[in-house]
Amino acid sequence: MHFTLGELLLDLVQNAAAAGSTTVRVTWRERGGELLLAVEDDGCGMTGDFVARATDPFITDGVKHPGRPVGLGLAFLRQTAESTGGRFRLDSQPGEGTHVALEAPADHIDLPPAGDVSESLVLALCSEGPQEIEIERERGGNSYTIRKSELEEVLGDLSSVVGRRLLGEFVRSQEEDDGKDDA
Amino acid sequence: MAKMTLEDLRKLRDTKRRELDMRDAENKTIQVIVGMGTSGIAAGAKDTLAAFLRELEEQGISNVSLRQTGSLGLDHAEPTVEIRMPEMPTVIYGKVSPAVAAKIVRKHIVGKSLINDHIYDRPAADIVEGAEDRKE
Repeated sequence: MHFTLGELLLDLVQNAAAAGSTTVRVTWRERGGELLLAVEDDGCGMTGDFVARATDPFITDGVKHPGRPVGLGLAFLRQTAESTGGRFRLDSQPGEGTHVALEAPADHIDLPPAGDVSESLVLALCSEGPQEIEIERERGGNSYTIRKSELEEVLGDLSSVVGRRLLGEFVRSQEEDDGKDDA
Repeated sequence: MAKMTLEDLRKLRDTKRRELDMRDAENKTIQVIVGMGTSGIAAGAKDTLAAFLRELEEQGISNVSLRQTGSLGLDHAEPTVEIRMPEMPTVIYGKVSPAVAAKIVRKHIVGKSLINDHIYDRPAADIVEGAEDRKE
């Protein structure tokens, strides 16, 4: 089981990247005591038959882990939904993409902790493959949207040592915004 | 803390322009690839990646592409890290704790010597194919 929501999210983004997606949209919202964690991609998608079996931890497409019949990301997400009385959604169309979402009570005792949100979002943004990764984040009164394409336009390659450091500072400033000017 | 804007980020980048002179991975001569699959993260790969970033900064090394990938297929030895660089063989190190990550930067990347007790490498292709044949 993943220890944090951030790790669950990263797994879903890696799935989207492995599906050959060009654009990945992430939503991580905590509003009115409800959590929504969702990833939507325009990758290769899955057939109805595969969608029905996709949350079996011993089912995989064989692309992400060649020769190893295990795929845990969706199984963990469904398990989290079931243990919190939440809702798990998985919609996919071959050739069009996949939309996966977890809705759960944000204060449920069995909901994993968020973890280091900034770190998780940086790791998601640095996923290789998709040209665009858009993240919509909302928690309390703080909300923001960040896009990989805009960050690359400013920083260049996000995998460089300095690029990663500045990306971390930027995302942390979005996440920890308290509405006060530091100046 | 107030939100940084993209313009703020651009100014910050400009102050480090010399460090950011390489704008794409093709120009980077060294690649550090950290396995960030489920088992890697469970074993502490995020701390390993952070340790690489910290040590590379401390050593003043900027010609490195710090990449992340899924499982490298060596779950028993997570966290795993592949190092690709000129004048050295491509190596997959296993059981890379933050302390080992710092050692890899100092000895492998800077000193150009292998850290033998953490080398796991990839299984040879013929061994993998042989295993597939035996399963059938």
